[in-house]
Amino acid sequence: MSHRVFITGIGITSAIGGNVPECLDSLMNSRHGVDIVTLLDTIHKDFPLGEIKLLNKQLCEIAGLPDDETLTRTTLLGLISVKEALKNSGIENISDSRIGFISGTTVGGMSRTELAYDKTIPGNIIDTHDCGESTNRIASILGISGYSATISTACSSSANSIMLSARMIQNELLDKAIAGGTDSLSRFTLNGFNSLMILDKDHCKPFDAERRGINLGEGAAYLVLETEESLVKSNRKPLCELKGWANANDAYHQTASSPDGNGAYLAISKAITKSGLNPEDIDYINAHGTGTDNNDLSEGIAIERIFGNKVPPISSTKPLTGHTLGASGAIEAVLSVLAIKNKLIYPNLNFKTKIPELTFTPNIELRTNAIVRNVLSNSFGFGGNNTSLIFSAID
Amino acid sequence: MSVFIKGMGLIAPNWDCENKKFHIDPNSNLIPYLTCMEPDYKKFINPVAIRRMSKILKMGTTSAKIALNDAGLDNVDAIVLGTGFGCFSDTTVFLDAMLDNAEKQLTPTAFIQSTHNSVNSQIALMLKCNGYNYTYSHGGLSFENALTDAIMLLNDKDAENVLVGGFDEITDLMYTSMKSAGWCVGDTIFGESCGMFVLTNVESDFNYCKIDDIRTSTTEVDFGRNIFRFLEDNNLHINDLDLILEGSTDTRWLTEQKLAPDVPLFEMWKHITGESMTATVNALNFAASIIKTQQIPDELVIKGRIKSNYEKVLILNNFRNLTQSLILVSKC
Repeated sequence: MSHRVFITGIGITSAIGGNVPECLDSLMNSRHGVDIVTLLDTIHKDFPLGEIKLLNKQLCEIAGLPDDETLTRTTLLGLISVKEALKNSGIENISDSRIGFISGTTVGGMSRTELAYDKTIPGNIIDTHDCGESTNRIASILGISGYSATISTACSSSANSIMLSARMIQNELLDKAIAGGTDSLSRFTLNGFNSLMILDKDHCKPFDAERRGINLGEGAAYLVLETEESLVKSNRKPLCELKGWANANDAYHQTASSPDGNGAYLAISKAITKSGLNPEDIDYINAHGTGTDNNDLSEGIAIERIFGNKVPPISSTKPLTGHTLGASGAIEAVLSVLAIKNKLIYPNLNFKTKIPELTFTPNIELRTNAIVRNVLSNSFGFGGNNTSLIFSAID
Repeated sequence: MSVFIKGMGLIAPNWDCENKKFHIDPNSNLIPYLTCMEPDYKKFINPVAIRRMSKILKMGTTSAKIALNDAGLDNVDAIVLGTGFGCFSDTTVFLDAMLDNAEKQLTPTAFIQSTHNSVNSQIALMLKCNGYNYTYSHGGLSFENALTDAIMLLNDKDAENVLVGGFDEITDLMYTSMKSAGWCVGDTIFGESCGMFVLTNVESDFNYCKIDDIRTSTTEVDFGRNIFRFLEDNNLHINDLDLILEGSTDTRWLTEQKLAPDVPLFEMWKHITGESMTATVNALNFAASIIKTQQIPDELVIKGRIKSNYEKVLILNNFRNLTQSLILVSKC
């Protein structure tokens, strides 16, 4: 149970870049990827989205596959990022049964289901619909044969994949794990969030008194997790350590967060305890920060309950990438790793006015050469599902 | 550390969940798939809450409540569930509304309930359970993912009582889609069910059985070999098993041509409760009951050699030859 868990590879594809170098370049320039809708076939063109401006057949090309209509956009985005993470980590024998593959997604193949549903495309609505299909397809294309799982806990799905992988590694069930998540934009999701009236027609403004809601996005990210023993064998230097993790449930409402942020408070405080750190050791918080009235206040209150009047620099990176739902936990985990490696603290774009009920304001300028040893990353989802992860620099 | 089943709740076709016995529905052949025998939900769940719930939410919360009652508990430390298709009915209600109304004037209820973890969160709300809460959706291994996680939580002593379960519903549209996608091969009858279990790491005379081991595979060529490797790793020979619950539908791994005459008593349960991505929940419920009562219900059709007692039971599931799971349970 004392096994330490290290991150040895990362892969990402999102609206701010199709791979790690592209995303890092966008981050260094505070360049967001939230823009007018050009790909999704919807009447709601007035909601800006974090779309990846590539057609499925272009994604096939990037993934090195012939154009195949049965590959969902969710699978393709996932595949591209898994391949990058594997390359980055230097894993050679991917079919080793001690290497697991844990993925998170909210709606799996919905972007294809909804087209088959109204007969826009031929085919049935069942073969590529379920969440596990994207995981199994990626595993089968890449030849991953170890333990595999798919988690669907709304917007904390891929943070939960990372947490499960860490627990399986500590339990010696796996030596390495590829953990993350993937979600593509769909009309179903856009209309669902619109029916809840929590989308912003402007660029989202997390932690701002005038915040109006979410900008949705799409993407995928995966991290390779390894034990210390496995690192000794491969003689590779890890990117950072995953020190803390916790999941708790708000048990307050199906979609809304509690006024006292209890679920978030439990997740953050348990993750800090697990890491063996103290709240004052956290150098940066990558917040869930969706830009909704409810989340940002509830999350803010939970953070104040833990950090008091010493809240470390905090920002939501969702104005950059859009809220990528099931992929957001993993995307923000990769951003957390990049923050540690490159001594960066990201800006919370579009912020102007402090939330009156809170004492802190988010970090608004990109900080370079910052001391970033420990990063707390929050991912909260519908159903009160709250997960916090803590990434730490290597001693 | 050993993991035990302490309580169970099952809502399934041809199954009377209140009296915990089979109740064969004479009209079940009127539609080409099997649907659950639903209880009077008001007996278990707040009637005000029920009115807003879709069928799968009612089945999920009710079977959870039955399992907790059975275990004599008011709450658990964690809720870990698996579902293949999630809340499919709500998903199609929202899709229909979206397409019929050209994306205009939509209400959010079906969208909210369509979320894969809505059953988990309804149970957490009902119990006021702030603990660990995970939903797996991994095709034919969705429940097995959940069970693997629950066992790990108990081994780590992160929890003393875990609610673990699996659920899937079937609708006309799902059935016709499965049929057109070529899923209904051989004598496969699709169905639905919702099975919940309270697992504990605390020994007690009231526990149903012990869960010794679970293993999953997605490599079809290994399915036959896996059974023997799994038994070997548990220091067992196939003759040591007292019963095999075999969940193959179109391929019968254990029929005479494959593994007989070594095969002990075996039963294929899917003719009664149907096939689904989480059909294993039915077999685990039956296995635990058989071990506890030392009785096999008449409705389960036995083949092979009859044994005098049931101490070791192997559950073997196979979903569409894509996934295989093996679960070994034994007398406490």
